[in-house]
Amino acid sequence: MIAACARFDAELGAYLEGEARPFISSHAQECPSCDALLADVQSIQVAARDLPQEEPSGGVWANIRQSLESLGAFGPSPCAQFSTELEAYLEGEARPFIATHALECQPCGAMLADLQLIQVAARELPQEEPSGAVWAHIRQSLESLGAFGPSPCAQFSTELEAYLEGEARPFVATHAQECQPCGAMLADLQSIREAARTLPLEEPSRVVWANVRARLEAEGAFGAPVAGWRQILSWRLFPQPVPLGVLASLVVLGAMLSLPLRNPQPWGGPQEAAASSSTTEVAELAPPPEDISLAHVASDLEINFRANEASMTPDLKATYEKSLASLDGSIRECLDSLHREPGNTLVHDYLLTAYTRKAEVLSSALEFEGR
Amino acid sequence: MGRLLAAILLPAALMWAAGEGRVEKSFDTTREPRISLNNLKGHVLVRGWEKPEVHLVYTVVSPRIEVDTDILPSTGAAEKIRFDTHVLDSTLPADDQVVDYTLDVPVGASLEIRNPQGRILVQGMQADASVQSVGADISIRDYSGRLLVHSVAGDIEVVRPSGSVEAYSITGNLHFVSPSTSRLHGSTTSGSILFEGDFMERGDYILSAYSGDLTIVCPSAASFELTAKTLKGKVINSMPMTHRRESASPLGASNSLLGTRNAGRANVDITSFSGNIRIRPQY
Repeated sequence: MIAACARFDAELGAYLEGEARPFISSHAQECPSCDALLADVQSIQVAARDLPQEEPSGGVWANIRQSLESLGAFGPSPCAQFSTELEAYLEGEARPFIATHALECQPCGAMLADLQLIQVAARELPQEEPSGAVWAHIRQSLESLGAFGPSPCAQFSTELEAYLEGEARPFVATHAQECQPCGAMLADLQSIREAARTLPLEEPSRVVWANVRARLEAEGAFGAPVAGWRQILSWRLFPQPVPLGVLASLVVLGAMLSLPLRNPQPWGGPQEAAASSSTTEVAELAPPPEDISLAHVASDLEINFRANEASMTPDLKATYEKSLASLDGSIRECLDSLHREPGNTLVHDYLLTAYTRKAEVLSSALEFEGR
Repeated sequence: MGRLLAAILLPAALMWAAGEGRVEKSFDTTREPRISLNNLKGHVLVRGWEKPEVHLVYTVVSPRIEVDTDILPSTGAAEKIRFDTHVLDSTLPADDQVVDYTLDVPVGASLEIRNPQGRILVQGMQADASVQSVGADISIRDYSGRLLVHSVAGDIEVVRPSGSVEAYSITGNLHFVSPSTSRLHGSTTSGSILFEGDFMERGDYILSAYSGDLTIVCPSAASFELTAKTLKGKVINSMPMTHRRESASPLGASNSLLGTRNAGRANVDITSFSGNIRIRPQY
């Protein structure tokens, strides 16, 4: 029965996509748990069809971003803590985290050293009233360091996670009533949380992560070394802010890869068709609908690469060209095979791997352009 | 610059004025410092030793290239040292952007090495390491820490590793020799993979190539569960095994092998799209 259930799991996606999979129905009649699963998924499918096809408002994306930021999803939270505690540390308070983090984090260590030098130098300055411009600059600098304490909205963001975890945080509810954007964000998050409870607990596929990662890499969102192939992509020193549009794209991208596509978009619009004609022959073959997003990521990265490749040293460029040619050959071969055997999951796995590798190599190449 | 904290900024021009392209420095460190090296082109050799000290020798090809060194903390034993190669003149020809490094570092040092266009050799270390190149070969020997090794186009050789290993390339070959690690993942697109050695009990070995061949050469006494699949190539096995059957496999007998060798104490997963897979005993 376990093997049959495993087969049921393996075929369920295709069945829900409309393929003829008689085993699904027959097994569901024999196995109560799989039958229940099938009924649940079909209910979700039916309910999802009835949902209006609406693009979430800009406010929702803004709220999601703000919320994710408050959860530490985009920034090095130790650095944020460092910034928060820095003023007190410089005032002489015992803040052991500051010294520890400064040793671990080169930018924060450098900032601390600079500020300490300024502090020392300042002690030796004559006691004169600085001009208004000096105060303005100091204030601006301290504000950029977050030295003036949390605003109500910042405090809201700080406490939001704990509140959503069930802790008693009366300020969150109070502030949500007083502040329209924070109130909207709280409402959105609570709605999302409620909706999420009904979703099956599934780990996103590695393709989703690869797409998210590749897109963020392409936007220069990472600076710190990470594990695996991704490490070769992150040769920049400092994180950079991620535009909201990119985050929105990521959410859409993740959704596209996580959910079955009912109305797949045609591969490449006119603009992309024009661009791709100068980039790669791979785009001439249509990837399966579920791979389009990943293919788009690779295509976007390649367009960027082609636009800037002249700034790369010839030998480095040749190395990347050779690797890209190898990957393009893999993609082309996989697409050919898939067109002949659409259901071949092994070929599909190789195609996904090839797209992912291509995105990674292009991201790596983009780091070297202009060096 | 205050934040450079005992940094050594050695203008190459001064060295040239003194008729010297070779620089040698030593730094007292803890026993487990973090060492990072960012080079552009040139050889990098890193060796582990028992001293709590980093000994650096580097040679610059042109006076228009320099090496920055950042050390933290500023006094006492260094916990973190960073070496960066910088080109001072953007018109400097690529062939002159070469710095060759030799580093002797504490065996417990963790390493982060990025050398896009030069061979990297690391040997005799015990902590975590990330080693990256774009077009050059990488060789890691006698390493007991966790290894992440990447080269876009260079070959990767890992000899006698005993910590976990992840090695990836696109067009380069991978060669694993006598590993005593229980976790080894290797992947290449058009390169080949050669694994020579035994498998550890409860070990997990995943090797994948796209068009390259994969060859496993292991002792007759090796004990492992094998899953070998190639879509367009052949599986050529010369080690007797107890065959398993997989339901609904689209592959035929010639390009798929699921078998158990001896007690099957390690998991070995080998896949290729169009390359051949060979499994043969070590003599």
